[in-house]
Amino acid sequence: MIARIAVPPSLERRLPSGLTVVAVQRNSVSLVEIRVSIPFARTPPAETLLLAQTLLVRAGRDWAVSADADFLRISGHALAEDLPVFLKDLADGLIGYSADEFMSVRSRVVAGSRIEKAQPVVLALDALNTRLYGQHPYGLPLPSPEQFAAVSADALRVLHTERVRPSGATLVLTGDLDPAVAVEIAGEALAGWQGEAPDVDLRPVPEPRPGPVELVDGRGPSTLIRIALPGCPPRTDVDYPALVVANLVFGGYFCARLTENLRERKKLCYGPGSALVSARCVGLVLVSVDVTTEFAGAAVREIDRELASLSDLGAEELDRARQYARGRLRMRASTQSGLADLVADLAAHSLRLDWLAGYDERLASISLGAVCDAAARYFRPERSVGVVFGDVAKVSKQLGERQ
Amino acid sequence: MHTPRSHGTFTRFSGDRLQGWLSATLKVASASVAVPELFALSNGLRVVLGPSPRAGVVGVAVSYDVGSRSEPADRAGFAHLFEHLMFQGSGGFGNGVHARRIQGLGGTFNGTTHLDHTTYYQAVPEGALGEVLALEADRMRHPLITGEALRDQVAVVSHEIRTAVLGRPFGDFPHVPLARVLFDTFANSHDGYGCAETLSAVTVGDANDFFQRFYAPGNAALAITGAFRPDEAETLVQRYFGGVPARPVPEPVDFGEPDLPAERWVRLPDPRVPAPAFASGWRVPDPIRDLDGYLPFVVLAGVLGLGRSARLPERLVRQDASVLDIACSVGLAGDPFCLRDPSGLTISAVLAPGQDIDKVMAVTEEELDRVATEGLSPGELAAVQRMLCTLLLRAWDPVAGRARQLTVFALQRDDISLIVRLPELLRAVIPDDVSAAAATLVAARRATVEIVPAPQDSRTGEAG
Repeated sequence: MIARIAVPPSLERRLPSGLTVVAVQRNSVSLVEIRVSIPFARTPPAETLLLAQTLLVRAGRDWAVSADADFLRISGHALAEDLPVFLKDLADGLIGYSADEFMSVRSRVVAGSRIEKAQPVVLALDALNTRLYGQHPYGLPLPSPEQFAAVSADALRVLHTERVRPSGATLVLTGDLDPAVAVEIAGEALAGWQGEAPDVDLRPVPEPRPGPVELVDGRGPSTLIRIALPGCPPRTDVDYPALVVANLVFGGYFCARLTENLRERKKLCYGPGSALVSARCVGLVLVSVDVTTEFAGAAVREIDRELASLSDLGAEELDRARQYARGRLRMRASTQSGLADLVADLAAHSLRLDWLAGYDERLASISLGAVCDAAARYFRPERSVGVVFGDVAKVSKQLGERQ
Repeated sequence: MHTPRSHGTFTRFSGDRLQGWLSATLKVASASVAVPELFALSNGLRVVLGPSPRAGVVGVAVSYDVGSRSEPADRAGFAHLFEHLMFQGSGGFGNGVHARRIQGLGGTFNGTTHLDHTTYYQAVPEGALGEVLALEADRMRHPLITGEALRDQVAVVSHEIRTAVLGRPFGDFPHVPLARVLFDTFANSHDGYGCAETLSAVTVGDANDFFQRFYAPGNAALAITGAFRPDEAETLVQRYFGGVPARPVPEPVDFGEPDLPAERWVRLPDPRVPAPAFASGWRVPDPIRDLDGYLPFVVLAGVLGLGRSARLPERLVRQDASVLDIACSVGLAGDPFCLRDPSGLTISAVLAPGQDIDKVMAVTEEELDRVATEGLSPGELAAVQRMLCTLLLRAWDPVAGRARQLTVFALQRDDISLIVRLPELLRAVIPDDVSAAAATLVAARRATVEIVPAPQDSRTGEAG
């Protein structure tokens, strides 16, 4: 019933520097979206985050630069006519490091991290990552104010010189543009960005150690439950479409079982959900449920129950989730910024836009058996690794009652 | 998340700020600039058709001309609660059907309650328009309001308030605490989220009255955007909405208040916040009846706070490092073109550790005075105008975002050409207009709320 997905006109070119440029036309409004991803595995977290904050600060425009354990990511948008000016900004920041703003940015980041480190959402995820990955880069928590304060401008200069390099990096442009012209403009603007990045890859993550949820003491009116189901396959895996559908049925959209049970039936919380997370080296399902503390035990129990019963899944549930998965692809592709994020996201997994049509067809033809198998394989309470962030005295009593 | 989240305008302090409220079409290379078509059905429903054939998806929004300002004085949070009830089924469709149908079509849906309007919106793959219209028309005709649905949604909204507002530092800052100081009437000063206690007192009778009074087709607008054929859409609109009976439309209410007689300052201890913060607000011209007078304030807010090179971030964040974050916006809840009078201009900031609020306030006063007396530097105005236009265009790129804005223009202005003209109008603002706007933002007309970290369980305000 859903029409074939239309793949917009695009052009890709690998520049002599090794930078891959992808330009995609979608002229709904006269803007362009700009995304850059640079491989950034095994860089020290405090330095990396400070580099992100200072990289394009000189340009004075509102570039957003973020970093995780895999990539340094740059994101911006401009009136279509301003694309050359914005690319010049970008080139300036990528070619050489300027420490002009370093001191003021660092003090702001130090103070800001003090606030971040008081946010339950940050602390709960930090605890989960540590539990999942230990000392592996994926497990490192948000750096402390002291760690940020100890970073020097020289360290950032060195990091920039070594790692902000075009080989292996990707530039995505989407919007009101002619792909051939845009690629040409980008090639010219970024011609001065040269240099080879070292070949760095992450070591494999440690084996997951499933077990009962770990309690982490924190204050506040609500308790945060974060449960990971590690060991999920990448986008290219034959199981992936089934996994996407299984996750939707479990907690990935409003019609999911988690919402139906925890929000609508048991009235334990407002917005329970689960999401598929794909990093370079791992795939997992992350279940996130924020509850009033008195309901924490009941919520953990219901999450386990839903995990255990997911493989008992009906045709109607499959149809709705499959349609939603296919519709969501079309939504993302229907805006310039959604399209830019989508193309950059695919590129991070060495995929291109043309992969979409095949993926969409695999979703369309998926069988109930395949989804039930994926549910049975990847959604099992005994595979889960979780944390509960809240008032430990109260929560442990509730969890104790349950055992 | 994919939950019907409300109060999209009650934005968090950090992050998007002005982002997300602006967007449209200016000197276009190839993007289309057609003004959509506006007409009315015999029952009074206003209909906007804004096609963009290659979108691949279609957006549908229905807005009702009622928001938290219109809710009864003993029923704070009622408009938002009612928005939740509209997802609990309607005459032809049972509870939960709306969500399952829309998502089963491959679409997304949500609702949002603002000061002056409540919007329901969907985006679905091309070809599914008829089914969305059937659902929207049915709940316009007869939503299913039962005691059970009401109890369920009071519980859901109470969770929403606890986790999304009370559970988060700066969860309702700056709008909710500032409105209490900037305004006197219940309509303008109360918290549109309400609280669990007042919401629990709501009865099925209250909800039915509210529906009868405010949810008439003549008090609503429907917009369709994206990939559809206008002639087919018009037939579908007639088929589904044409038979919704006309009902009396409420008289428009003027929520305007006289300007503050003197400066106001309230200090509010808050156990949730990790750092001190403040928000100052001023009344601004009527956004509807005096758009020409209003736009310079929108541009001024950009000059002061849009982007990291704007005046206040440049001085206070970059040079002095006395604040961690500072924002300036027009529209009370962060959206300047989605409300009626009264609107306001807001400056809000989180202080850096050990910093003094009086010094930071003095800098804001100094910068306002500089804009008023020295004007703008060369290029400053044009840069801000470009950023404002970019924001508008970006918010109107998603089909649902465009549809939402069109319904609000239709309801509040009966003029949807702003979807094309607004960027031009912003670009027509001249430096003298901005200086004149800045000259009105004096301390004597200012309301300020200061938020100070406090031990748990202390949340009462003291006037100062």
